[in-house]
Amino acid sequence: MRRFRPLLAAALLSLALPGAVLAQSGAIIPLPLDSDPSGGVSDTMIDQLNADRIEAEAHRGTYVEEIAVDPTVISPLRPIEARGRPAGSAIRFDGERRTLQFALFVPRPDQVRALRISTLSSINVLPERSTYRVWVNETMVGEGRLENFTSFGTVDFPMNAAAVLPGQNNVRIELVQYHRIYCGPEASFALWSDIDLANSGAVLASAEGISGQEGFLMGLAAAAATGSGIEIRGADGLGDYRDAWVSTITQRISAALGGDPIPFRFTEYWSVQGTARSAARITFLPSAVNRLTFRVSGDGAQVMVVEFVPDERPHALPEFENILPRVADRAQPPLIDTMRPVAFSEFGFETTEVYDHYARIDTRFRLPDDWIVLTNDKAEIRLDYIFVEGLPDQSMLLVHINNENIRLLPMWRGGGELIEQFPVRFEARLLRAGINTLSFEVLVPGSPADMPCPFNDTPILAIGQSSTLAVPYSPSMYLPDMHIAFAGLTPASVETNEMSARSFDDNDVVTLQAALSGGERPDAVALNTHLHLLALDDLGSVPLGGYQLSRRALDAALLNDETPAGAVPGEQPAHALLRARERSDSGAALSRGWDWLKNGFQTALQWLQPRSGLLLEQWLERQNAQAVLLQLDPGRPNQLWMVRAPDSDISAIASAIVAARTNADGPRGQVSVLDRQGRWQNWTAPDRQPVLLEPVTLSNIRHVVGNVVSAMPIRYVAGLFFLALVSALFALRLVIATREHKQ
Amino acid sequence: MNRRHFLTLAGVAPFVAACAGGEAGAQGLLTTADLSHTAGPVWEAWKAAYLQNDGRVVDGVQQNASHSESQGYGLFLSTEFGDRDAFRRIFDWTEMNLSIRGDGLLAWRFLPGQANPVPDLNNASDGDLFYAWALVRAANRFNERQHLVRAQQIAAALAERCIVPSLANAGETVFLPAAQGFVHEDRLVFNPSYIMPLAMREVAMATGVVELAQTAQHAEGMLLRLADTGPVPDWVQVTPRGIVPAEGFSTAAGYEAMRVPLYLVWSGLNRHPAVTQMMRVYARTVQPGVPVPTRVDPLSGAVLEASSDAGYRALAALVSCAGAAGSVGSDMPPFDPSQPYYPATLQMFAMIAANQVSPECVPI
Repeated sequence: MRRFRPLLAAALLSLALPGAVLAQSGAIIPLPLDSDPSGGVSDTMIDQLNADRIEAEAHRGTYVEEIAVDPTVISPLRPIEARGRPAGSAIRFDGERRTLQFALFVPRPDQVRALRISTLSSINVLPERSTYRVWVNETMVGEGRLENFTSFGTVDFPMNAAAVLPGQNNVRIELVQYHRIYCGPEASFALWSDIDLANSGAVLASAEGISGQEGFLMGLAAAAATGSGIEIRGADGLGDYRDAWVSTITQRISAALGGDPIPFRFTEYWSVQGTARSAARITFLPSAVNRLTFRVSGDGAQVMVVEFVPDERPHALPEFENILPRVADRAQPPLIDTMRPVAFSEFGFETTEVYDHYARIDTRFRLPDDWIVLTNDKAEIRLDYIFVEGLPDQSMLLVHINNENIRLLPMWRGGGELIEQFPVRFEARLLRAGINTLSFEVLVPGSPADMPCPFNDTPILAIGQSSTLAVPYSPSMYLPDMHIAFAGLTPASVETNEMSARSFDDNDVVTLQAALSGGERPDAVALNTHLHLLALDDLGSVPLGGYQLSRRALDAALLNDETPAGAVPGEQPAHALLRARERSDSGAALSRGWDWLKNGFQTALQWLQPRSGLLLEQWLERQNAQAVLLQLDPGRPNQLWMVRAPDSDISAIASAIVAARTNADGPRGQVSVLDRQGRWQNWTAPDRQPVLLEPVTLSNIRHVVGNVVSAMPIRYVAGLFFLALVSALFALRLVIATREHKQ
Repeated sequence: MNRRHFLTLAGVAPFVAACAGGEAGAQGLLTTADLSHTAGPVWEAWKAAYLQNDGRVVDGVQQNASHSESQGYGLFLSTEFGDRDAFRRIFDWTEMNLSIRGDGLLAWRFLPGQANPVPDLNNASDGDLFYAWALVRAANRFNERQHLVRAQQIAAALAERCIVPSLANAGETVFLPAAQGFVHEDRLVFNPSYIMPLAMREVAMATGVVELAQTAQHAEGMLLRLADTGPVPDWVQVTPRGIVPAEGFSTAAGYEAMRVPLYLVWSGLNRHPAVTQMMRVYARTVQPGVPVPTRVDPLSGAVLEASSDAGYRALAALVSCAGAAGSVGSDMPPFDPSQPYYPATLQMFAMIAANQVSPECVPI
């Protein structure tokens, strides 16, 4: 039936159309259907119709005026330190004065026209006095004002070939910001300026001629700065050697570039253009020969084409290995000696001058993994510092160890003289095995506080690198803690199971593996560390080591919990039975009394004998996590388990991992949460016990016992109490026995 | 009937040989894949951008019109991606709105929002050809043999109304752009981009309308002569004195003629001079970040127009890769659904052609 329908319709139309069409429009002339191709319709009419048809086909795309094409391209800035933020986001300068270092890759200096900086500032910034200055390879190329408050604004600083080196260049940006109304620490907190990394960098005249290895390196930098990441195309064809090929290349790139790890993503050959264009890509093509070439693809991406012979092991890629510059080592902070004063300069602290009303200076050092002091032994800092005289009241320098304040040094008295080796003693138990952070926090009120700060070009305070830190002796002991396993993670440590794919796809795994290349400690690697990537549904595979951890608690930490609509606190329960617990009769009062007693008993028990139990779950429920690291079983000190929030960004997690191993506080204890601000929040079990790793000797027994007792004092108090009680009973019995008269 | 089959097969023979040549270039390492698996998101993006729910393929640049060409292209793509639902919707809409001539051919254009949306009942032979080709392929892909009946009707109508003897060479036939308007006493107007050798041969083989295969063979010869001096132009006219520029038509190698090398490569004729000529233009002009030529003067080679649409770049990349011996990997960009319908569809075709004939030309 269907085959006749068109014919029928056409037949009807052939009768009906001509008249109708002629009636509705005089301009369009229908052709009689049965006319002979060469006759029946005049040539004029046919030409008119054809002209309409040909005109319609004259332009069938988006016509581009030649003049409208801007040939310039930007080789973007790349921060050389990991920030623990999602890749590609703008970088923030906060406070009154800040300096950051960047890497800038320039394939051909003769193509450089300018250095472009794109900024956006808080409305609190006073534009007349707030500026930034830019140096390239220690040569200042320009100074700009911070005057963009609603959207990013760009400034191009002219630059010529002489100012830059072919390949890697160092860029330093210093910002000075003033509050437009107030002065002081509070005002300083309100100051920030962002630099749009994707649109800041070297402006190159055109992309012409930028190809090959140098072009690929520029593409890598752009991929990192824009957050688009690096595509890996055609990896499925690698078969059994897929992981070997991919890990070799991605880890080499990641380790060489330093800074925030670059996200990687697998794509098919045939793909759809995403919102962000790819800047760099690695494409695998099966071939009869092993060959490496660098090309520019149709979408402008710089591509490293790896031709491989199928079913052969990965071969060396010298053309690739040799081109990658090493921007920054992901080295861990230096290990310092104990039992002697260690100069700050030995762990990388250089004499620092402070100009701001608020400043925080963090420096990190490392103690041996088997260092523990739980007693009240003292460590000591001997500080060399100087501050100007006449600072306002309440000006102070705070000294912190691992975010615990250990000393407040007033600066509103005296000043103008160098204070040498000022002793700051503190509890050594604030220090811990592995990475520690020593912080100086400067607070100088405004004078006056309700006016913009006066121009200041002289330092307020200086802290000398000759200051020392003395850390007391510790016997070789170990407290269960994930920091050792974390320090030893390598790309090979990452492990997945059949359920991992629910939370970590191939792109995530390769991005994490790449982030873990570099920055590991060789001695910790020897532990054969493992990082198990878990789906939330697979919580049962985590060894809990006697602790209590429920799916509900993890969900509370990882999922953005929203109060269900209509569930207003204080409303009457929907069902009468649910109101039973609110009864006010005597039975209910008794029940509530019993609950109160029970809770009180449990609280007292926790105080006397801390046990993780509910504490971990309660702590987790208060967190807002991107990811959670777990190491609950002290019997597996080399293993970590990780779960992530469904909406988390793997590049932010990877970056936080890199930052934690180099320049930020990292995961510690038994459970560590990476919060939404990119900081690690740690939970340490209160009942963990130190383990002695050396024989007990006369020289160490006091320290060993001190640590063991300090770890759980109530236990030993109870033990000693029991012993005393038994002794008393025994003595009593002895007294009674000796006083008995023999009959 | 036997003679017809023999001739049809004879016509297909060069194509098979050419295809074999293409496979050799691929070195057998990358093979033709099922695009419904390897390029599913691309097809979904094309549908979302250009296909309405009712089955109308919309060309936004052209007053949101639909053409028999776009319906034929869409029907072919739905077949290629094994999308029976899209195929059914496109087929139904086309039969309802464009199959109104009475001879089986399709009216060439539908203008939405007008009292009479099909004011010109003339056909476009390339639209009819692709429509018939899609039906032939659908018969196999969906195992719905009834489509062959409709394909046969179109093929027969094309042979009857759009294939005429050449004025230049006795024994040769010419594939007209439409049933009406292109034949004059002293000349035939010919659009080289309406020649799709592979489609003509497959339709001929499936329907028995052998004239299509013969005309394809003749057209390849004409394209050979046209490519003597440069890229093949959009329009020419065939006169008793030979092939000359068409009066009143575009003589540039533009938006029409850019399909010539595409269809030749797709038909396995990678080394055809028309491909080589366009390859030279692209080799000279295509650069990353710079718009791709879309209209070129065939004599001087000067670029008259260029575009940044991904589809045109894909076309250039396919021609450059498939036309060069030993090339591995092409510069085709990812599919961009924000570009107009025409370059987007050409990009789809470039992908299909590469996959079928030069699988080594996958995008790098």
